[in-house]
Amino acid sequence: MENEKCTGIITQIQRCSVHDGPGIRSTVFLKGCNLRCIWCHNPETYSGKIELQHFAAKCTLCGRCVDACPEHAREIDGGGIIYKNELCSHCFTCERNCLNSALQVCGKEYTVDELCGILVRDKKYYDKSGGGVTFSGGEPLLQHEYVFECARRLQEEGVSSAVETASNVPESVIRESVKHFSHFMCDIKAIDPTLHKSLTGVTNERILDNIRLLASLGTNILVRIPVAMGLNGTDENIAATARFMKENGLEQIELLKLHDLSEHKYNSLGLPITHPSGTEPTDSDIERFYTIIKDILGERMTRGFKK
Amino acid sequence: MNKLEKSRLMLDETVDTLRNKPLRSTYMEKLQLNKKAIDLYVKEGVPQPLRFGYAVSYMLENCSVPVKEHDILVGRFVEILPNEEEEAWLDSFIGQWGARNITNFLYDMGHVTFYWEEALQLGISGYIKKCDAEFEKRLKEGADMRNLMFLQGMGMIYRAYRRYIVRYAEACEAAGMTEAAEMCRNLADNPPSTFMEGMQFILFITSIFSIYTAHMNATLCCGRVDDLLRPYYEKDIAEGRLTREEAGAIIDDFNCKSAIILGRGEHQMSGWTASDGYDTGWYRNPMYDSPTYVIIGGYSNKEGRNPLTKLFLERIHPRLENPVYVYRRTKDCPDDEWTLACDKLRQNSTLLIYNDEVVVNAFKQAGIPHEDAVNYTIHGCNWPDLGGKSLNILEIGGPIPRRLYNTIFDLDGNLTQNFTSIDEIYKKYEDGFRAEVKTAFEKYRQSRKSDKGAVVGQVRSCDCFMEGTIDNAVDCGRTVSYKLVLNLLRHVGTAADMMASLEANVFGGDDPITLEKMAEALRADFVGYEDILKRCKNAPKYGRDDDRADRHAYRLMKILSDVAAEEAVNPETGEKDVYVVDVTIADTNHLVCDKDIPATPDGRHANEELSENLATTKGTTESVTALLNSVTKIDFGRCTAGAMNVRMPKNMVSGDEGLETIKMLFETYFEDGGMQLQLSVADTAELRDAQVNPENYPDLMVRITGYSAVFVDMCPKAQEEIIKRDEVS
Repeated sequence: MENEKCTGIITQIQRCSVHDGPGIRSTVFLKGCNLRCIWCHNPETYSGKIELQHFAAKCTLCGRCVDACPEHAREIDGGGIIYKNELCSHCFTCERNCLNSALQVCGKEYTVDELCGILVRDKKYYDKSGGGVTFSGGEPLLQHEYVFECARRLQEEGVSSAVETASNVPESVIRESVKHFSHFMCDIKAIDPTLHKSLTGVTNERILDNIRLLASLGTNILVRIPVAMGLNGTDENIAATARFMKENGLEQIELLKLHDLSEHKYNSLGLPITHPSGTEPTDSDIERFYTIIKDILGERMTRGFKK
Repeated sequence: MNKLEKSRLMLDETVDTLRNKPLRSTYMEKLQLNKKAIDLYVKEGVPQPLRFGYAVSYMLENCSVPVKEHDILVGRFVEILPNEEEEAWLDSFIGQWGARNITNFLYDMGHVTFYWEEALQLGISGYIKKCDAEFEKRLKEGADMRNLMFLQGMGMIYRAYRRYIVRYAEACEAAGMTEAAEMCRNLADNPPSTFMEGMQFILFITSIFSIYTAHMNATLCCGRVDDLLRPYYEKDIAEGRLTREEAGAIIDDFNCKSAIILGRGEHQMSGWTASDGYDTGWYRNPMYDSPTYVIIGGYSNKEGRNPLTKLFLERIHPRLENPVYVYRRTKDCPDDEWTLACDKLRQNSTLLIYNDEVVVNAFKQAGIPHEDAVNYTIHGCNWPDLGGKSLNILEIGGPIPRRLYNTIFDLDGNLTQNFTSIDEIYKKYEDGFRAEVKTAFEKYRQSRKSDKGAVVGQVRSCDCFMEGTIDNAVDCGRTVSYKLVLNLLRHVGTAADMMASLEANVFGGDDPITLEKMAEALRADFVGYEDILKRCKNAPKYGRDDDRADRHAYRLMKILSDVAAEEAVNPETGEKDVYVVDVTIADTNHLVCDKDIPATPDGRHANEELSENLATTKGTTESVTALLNSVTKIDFGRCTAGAMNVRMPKNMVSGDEGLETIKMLFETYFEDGGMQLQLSVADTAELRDAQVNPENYPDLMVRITGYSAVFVDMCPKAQEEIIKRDEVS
């Protein structure tokens, strides 16, 4: 089968993950995302391609990368390294010659065999705990052919898979995904389309349609809201999300606190830093929001997946 | 005041005392009594058993016997913060300790489990009778005077212990503590007859030994307390003398008494045992600093479930650095017990878990019969023994990275031979060890020939409570049933990484470098060879579930284990005559003792620390499951002890889900053949903050080697090593 030969670009495989679905899991972070959330702390997953990160704080300006680059895409100038992206052929010779870990390659290509070979190593822990594998990102469903093939292979090995998705993908992908995942973790960043666009760069009609579809197909869905106070962390948005859940028979919810922005990652990729005006919610903010949701969903509401 | 109220006050007192204990507070009275005893009785011409007996008697006759109204069990020691003058005196006196020139006095370093089965059966008065009877019998036979004096010395020590107990009875009477007074009176003249008396007896013997009659680090094991005291407990409950809650209060008191006397600091990093940068700068040793081990759970020769196991587990208090609890897990252990053990682990308690399926079998592999193998115990920094019927007589093996380094390189860092494959290195490694073990075992066999007929006649206080010493009138090193030889398999992580790097960079890979070039880089400590350093650092590492490195951990350990087991068979008789067991214990050798190993092919610089116990080289652990998978690839078939330290962040173990995570993780690990595990729950950010603001973290503990340490009491380099080594997510 052709799909068996397809490869995925992955930024990280986090084993023994306990916050991305039930039980003990391995979470696979796939590269590439079609949202640009202003609070994103994983900007290295924006691009779907393997790319170079330059951590200036570790650079000693030794010049080894400059000398090694066959395309002359790097030079020392004014106390720093100038990187000419347009010349770079992404051979990563520079990284291999860097002795200070100032250059790091972000993303690695894995075949289905390679990835699943790693993931099944923890099968005994999944089996014992009711866990499995979670595909996350970035947006894992942007590499859906690869992810589906991995999930299929894992299923053959007796390992179940879950997916964390922003659901901003074609309906056909969502329909196909139902065959492969036992659990869905679907982000709803905001219910109001305008607010959603201002927070993520895209509107949410397709996202909400896809979640409605998943719900109608009877899948096991956990709605997740990454909460940033002053942005989507408002009573209105939380209540609106709860009403959406109620309309679609969804009862599982998880509120996530806004993380630090990880500015060094933005710098390493040469990306402009967004400075979201939102702040991290307090524990009492989170509790208040859960109360709002519970008032709407009633006693059937559960935090996280039902046991 | 009832027992429950008393134990609550004792817990409050203990937590408060531990939090506020001055760093340099010490047992000045004990040290002054030591000094006086030496001046009075430790003199040339007085035979060792007698001078030791006199000195111990003098100290126990003159020491304070303080009590507090809320004491359930008694036995306290006077601790003060020395003033300037006292500090100066202390320095001069401690110099003698450091040089260990207190000739034949207090040189006992513990590191044993007493033969508690006999001790509880006889009581102190029974020992006196037995010792006197043996003396009289031997006198009639006209025995060697040295054996007689050995018994005389032992008799004096037993009587000194008894006097101390009687003095406590008097102190309790004076304070109106009638129940405690009666208990002490009983214990002075009879063996323990109730659960409380059993606990008090164990507390008396261990604390007197450690505080007054032994040298530094005299760690002891209280034995399998649940197994030993079960008959007393069941009888008390059946006869209505005791409730479960009262027994719990007694255990609380026992735990508190064991904790409150422990000094602050980290004993392996203080004084003469420490070195460059790993020294806390002051001596902790004169202060009591000996972890007391309490063993619970596990297979037993007795039938049915032991109700005390769960009760002891329930009473483990997460703030107490001492005693060190060891829960022996069996594959069919009750779920409520295992859940409770995991709950205590995630509260960051001083609790070590051992896998009976591995350890009992390993002892049996060594030739120990099943009924004694199931009674294994652990003492000190994770050392194994057999409940008073064994002594660790000889150590072979040692740091694996050093052995490997010396296999490949000579003292100048030049190659010992022109190796053309990894297998050649393994061959030389094995041959070298075999030659070493043959010589060691031959000497050992010679030395054991005259054991029980010996007339050495030196007595130590641990001789008083070990198997066969009275009957044979010689020291326990000659009388115990099992003289264990420990095959030390230390720092396997660094050694596996060395081999993985050589395989990837010298004997394989796309662009191999020569072994000569590698040797050159190591001699230069990688200065000018940064490209080689990078390749070494990027080579596969043990602990990441990467077979390219893990198979070397397996092979390096397996060779040493097999060779030692093979050589335990006497070539003349064809019979196994050496009880050799593997242990992976590293103590703090990875920091202080082996730092002089030159740079190694895994990318480790000269003098950099080695991997700790079974842990990875610092900074190479990725996840708990990967780490545990790597560890369980090792064959622990003959392994009886050693630490597997894991540190996890709080958010991973919090709530019901966190408890479930720990249970599932470690259950799988043990089912997969893991031997041992000890957990620290502390976030890296928290540890970093504690380095900057130590005053805010008086209660923050971490597991090191085989016990707990208050993090802020450790020296900065050791703190750094803990932080970098082993947080996993």
